[in-house]
Amino acid sequence: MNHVPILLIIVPLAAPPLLFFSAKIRRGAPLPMALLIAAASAVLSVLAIAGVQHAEVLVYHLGGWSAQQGIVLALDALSVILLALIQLVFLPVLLFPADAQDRLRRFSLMFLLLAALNGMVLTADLFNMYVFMEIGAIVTYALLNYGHDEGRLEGSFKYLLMSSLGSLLILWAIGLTYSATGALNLAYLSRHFGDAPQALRTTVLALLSAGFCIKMGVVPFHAWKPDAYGSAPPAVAALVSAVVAKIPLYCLIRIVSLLYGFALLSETHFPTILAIIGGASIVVGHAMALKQQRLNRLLTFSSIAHIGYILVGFAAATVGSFEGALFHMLSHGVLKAGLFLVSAAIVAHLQSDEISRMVEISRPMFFPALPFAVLALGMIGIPPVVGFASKWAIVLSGAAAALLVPAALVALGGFAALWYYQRVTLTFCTLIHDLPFPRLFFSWAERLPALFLAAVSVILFFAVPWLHPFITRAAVALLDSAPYVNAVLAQAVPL
Amino acid sequence: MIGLLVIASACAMAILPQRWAITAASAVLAVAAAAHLMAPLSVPIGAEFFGFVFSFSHYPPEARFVGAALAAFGSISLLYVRPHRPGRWFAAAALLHSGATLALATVADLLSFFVFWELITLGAIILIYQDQTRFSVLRRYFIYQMAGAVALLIGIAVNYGATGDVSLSNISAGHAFFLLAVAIKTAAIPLHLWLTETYPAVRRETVVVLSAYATKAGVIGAGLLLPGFGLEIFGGVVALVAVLYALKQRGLREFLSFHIISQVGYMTAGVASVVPLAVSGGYYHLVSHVIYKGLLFMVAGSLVDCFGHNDMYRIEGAGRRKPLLMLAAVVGSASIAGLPPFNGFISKSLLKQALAGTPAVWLLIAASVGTALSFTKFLYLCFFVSKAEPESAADQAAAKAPPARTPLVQWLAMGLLSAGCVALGVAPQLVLRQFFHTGAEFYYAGGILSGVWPALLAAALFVAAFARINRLLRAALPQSTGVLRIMRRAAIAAVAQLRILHNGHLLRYISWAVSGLIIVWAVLLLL
Repeated sequence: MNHVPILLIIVPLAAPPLLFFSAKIRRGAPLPMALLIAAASAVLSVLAIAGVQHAEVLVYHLGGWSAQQGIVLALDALSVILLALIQLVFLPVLLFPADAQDRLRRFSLMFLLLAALNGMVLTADLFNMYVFMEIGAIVTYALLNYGHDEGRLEGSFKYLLMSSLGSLLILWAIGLTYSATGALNLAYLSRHFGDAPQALRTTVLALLSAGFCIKMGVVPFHAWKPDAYGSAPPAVAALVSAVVAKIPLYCLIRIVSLLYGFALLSETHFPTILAIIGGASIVVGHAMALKQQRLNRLLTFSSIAHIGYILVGFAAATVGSFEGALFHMLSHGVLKAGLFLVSAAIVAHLQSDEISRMVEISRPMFFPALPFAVLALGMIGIPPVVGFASKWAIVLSGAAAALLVPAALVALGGFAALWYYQRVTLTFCTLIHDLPFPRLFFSWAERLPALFLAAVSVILFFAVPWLHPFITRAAVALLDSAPYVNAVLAQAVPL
Repeated sequence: MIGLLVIASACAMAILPQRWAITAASAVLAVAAAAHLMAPLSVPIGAEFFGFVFSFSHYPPEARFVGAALAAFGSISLLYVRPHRPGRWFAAAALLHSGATLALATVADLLSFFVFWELITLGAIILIYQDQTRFSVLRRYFIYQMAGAVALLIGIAVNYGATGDVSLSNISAGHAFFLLAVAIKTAAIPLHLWLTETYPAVRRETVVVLSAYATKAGVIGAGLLLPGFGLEIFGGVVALVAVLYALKQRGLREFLSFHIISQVGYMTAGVASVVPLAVSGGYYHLVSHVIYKGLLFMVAGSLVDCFGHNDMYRIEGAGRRKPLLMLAAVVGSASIAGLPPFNGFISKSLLKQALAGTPAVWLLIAASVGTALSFTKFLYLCFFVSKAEPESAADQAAAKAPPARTPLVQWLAMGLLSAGCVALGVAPQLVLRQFFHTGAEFYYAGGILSGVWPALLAAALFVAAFARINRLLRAALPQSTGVLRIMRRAAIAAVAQLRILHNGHLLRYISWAVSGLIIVWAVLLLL
């Protein structure tokens, strides 16, 4: 139980060699092996969530070194939300069928990605975060570039370059921070970064914002995203757009809340910048999604808009708006992953994600029309699918914090979403008599991941009353970082 | 409570036998009208849901009056509709549509307001859908109403953010959004396309029911959401501009639709005014309008029944062939033109007395002249003039054939409404004392003259220069395309530009990111 945080990183990190050896022993072994490891990781996440439910902050000192000397992993309500999102999306994406000969490579890369994501969420160390981020970026590049496709090559190359630019800015910010304080531990920095010169603090903030904004893909840092995700294998895009793009956002707000504090920043122009970036992302994302001819690009542009929603929530900087934004990270992740998995099932048969070609599906209502419609309802923000409550919270608290235009944009964004999702759904539902080709048949392995996420999205809607206290805790932790700092800086417990 | 019961009875209509549904619905509304007058059910109802208090069934006197009139009109209009044999869905939708409007007048919090506001739209959508109108008409209606609903919702959110409260008595923010919602619901030009392109397109019996409620809900909304906000100028401008549009119409129902917008402008000017007398006048005008406009739509429907088309300029000698119909049309026209002793005279006089001395009153008077002018044209073209030569062979045949019979029950409906026009015109004091606790004098020389002179001026203008006015209006007024159409074009152009910007060049994307960084840095460092 004590070692859960480190196990959350070690177990997926150990997966590639385990998978490799199991494949040497038996050809069919990687699949059960991967299931086993995924299950173990899921159990660990549940344990972590249970642990945080009892203790405010779960701290793990690596090697028994205290925060001043060593590396610390820390788990609080905020990181646990991200952990839950990672696990919820990771399993269905992992189970989505792939070619048997590719399985080994794909599973290995995905577990490496899982390790990197968990690491970024867990660590309380700035440079550690950077290292995990780079591992994640390289693995993401390999995953996006999977297969031999020119568009994929171009898209992932753009991702590589832009992501490196983002990493560069972040590294620069970390370097400046280290030069000013001589420390990299977030909790330590939280106490001592205030002594640094004002110009340096501001510069670090600008560099971090720009770097993480490139990584999460918001306007005007977003342009690589549709090319990279739109051409990627949709199952990979599901994981990447739902989770990988959220983690930089988490890192940004975690660092900002610890190093600057949202309360202090509300006197600067930082919230305004967040609100403008968020509003612009909503406008550009939805507007570009309206006319897309390809489903994956459409979904990616919609992701840009939704990260804009979340940024508006963070810009408002009240407990209510943080709740909305954090919950929207979770709900958008689940919904968008589900939509991409529907797209993945379609692409597996049509070899294309052209929306106009989807008339060939010719009306199997149960799949893909039903899960797609359910998930799209969530994206639009219509109950009883998750996404309604979080969006509403962002609108209300945004309006209350005098961010009228962004709040109105969040509210109106649903109409654009309604327009483009109904276009796709109606294309599925068009009935063609006397098909010139055999009717598509989706196997259960293709259906189940998307159906699972659609079910989760409905269940989460009804689970809001139970989740609410947890999300409130996370929101409060963002505004008041003292418990986190105190827990991390406490004396190391000998192992 | 009465509204809720009417909505509940809509469900019962869906299982009644087809032939009884309309009669039953009519009876339900008649009972509802009586219930409003006696108001035995006026016990406020509250329910708590997710921490918000829903509270309705408050019956201030003017709500009882408006509710009684709306319910009575619904009952009578269903009588008129009956010979056309609409189905049970018609009955259910009409009850939902009218019941929600009745309930809307009694709410005390924004959330119940929103719910009933949406139910009105739902009822209208079902009415239009069962009419088997073109899908594009239904879609436009839906889009406009949804835009209004979103505006309302944002307004509620903004107000909630400012006050932490959703009660109607505590509105201190979000007025712009409420105004937008009201402007859409009252079909204020240029947000009127949902009305003027729907009412002429649905069947002639459907429009009788449809025309009474949706815009009146907008007026009730203006009274509840923006009390004392001062929409006199807004209402006056809408009244005047809509009348100009009405003047140049050829089609009977297009013409009546623009007159709805115009008359609703009077009401908005009244109910959202600071002057208490103007508020009373606004509600009185609402009731008068429901009665005479319903009557006029019935006349129009019967004319369409007789002549098979909707074009005023092609209707030939209806006065000779349908004298009773002419009588109803004259009563309706005199009422809308504000001639004594009809109900329009009373309500317009109230408004003019209340707003005397403000610039708004001149807008309203100008609109009155326009209204009188345009109804002179209507009566002249449809009933009095004998065109030298009918334009087509079909019209010649129609002119010779015996006119279609108008069923007795429709005569009854028109007779009841005409009687209503006269009753509310002759005995206004009764209503004013009972429901508005005010009194005003109408029948003295100056008062009567103030009602008559716009009509006389209009008659003179008609004789002297109508052809010229008509030509001028056709040339000068822009086509009645809505803002949404213009906005749509602009949005399409903007999206095309955005797509051109995203041309896939990596260098461009990097430069965006770098300039983004520089801007963020500069803003944080320098500002």
